[in-house]
Amino acid sequence: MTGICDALKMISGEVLFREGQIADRFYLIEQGNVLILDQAGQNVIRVYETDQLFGLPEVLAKAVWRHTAIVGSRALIKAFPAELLFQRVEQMPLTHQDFIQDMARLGQ
Amino acid sequence: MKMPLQVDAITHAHPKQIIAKGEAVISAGSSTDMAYYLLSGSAKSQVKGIDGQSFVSGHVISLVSFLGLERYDSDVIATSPCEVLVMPRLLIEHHWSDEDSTSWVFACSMAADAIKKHQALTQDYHMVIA
Repeated sequence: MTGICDALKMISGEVLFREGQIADRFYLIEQGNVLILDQAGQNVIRVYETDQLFGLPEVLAKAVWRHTAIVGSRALIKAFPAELLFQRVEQMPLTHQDFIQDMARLGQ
Repeated sequence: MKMPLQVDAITHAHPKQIIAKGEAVISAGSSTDMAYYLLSGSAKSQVKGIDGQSFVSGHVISLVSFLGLERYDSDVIATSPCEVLVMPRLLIEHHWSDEDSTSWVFACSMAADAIKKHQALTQDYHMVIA
């Protein structure tokens, strides 16, 4: 899966995505961390760290990001296109597809 | 929530526990190295004495916590006599991945994410941007 992603090298404070943008990529943090900010942009409401994969529920729902994400410390992040996720889920057995959709609803 | 696996096919060699009504099926803080599949009976999660999610026959108890955490985050109490199958995490991962390895990775990631989002709603913000 890693062959068709963008490898992002980012520095502290850089914006990964902004509230209101279409969630058309999901992310794997290879190094560093990503901070999810509240709608005022002042408080950190979640932190994603090395080896964490995030953004799957939003991408599966074809939603927009509800919050802005910035890089907390120098980071290497792999960004995967939404199409890859949809293709991969379609290839799963039906019971797994249903389960992943249920999990996505839970994470919305 | 039910796992997307044919549990019957992988369970015959694993121990069953009989748990009386009112006894703990899972204690908060115990490792998620084991999954608890409810063969019969019913159970309910409790956080600080407050009732939470209900589980019935066919459910993996606290499946989201099992997938997304290293330790269970709530007690689960039998609300009727329960027969529970205890299965090692590695066994489930093995069978799950045999059916679809990406599904296992996505399920664990989304479970961890869902828990993180829920915690953010129930706890104070822990950091303020300078």
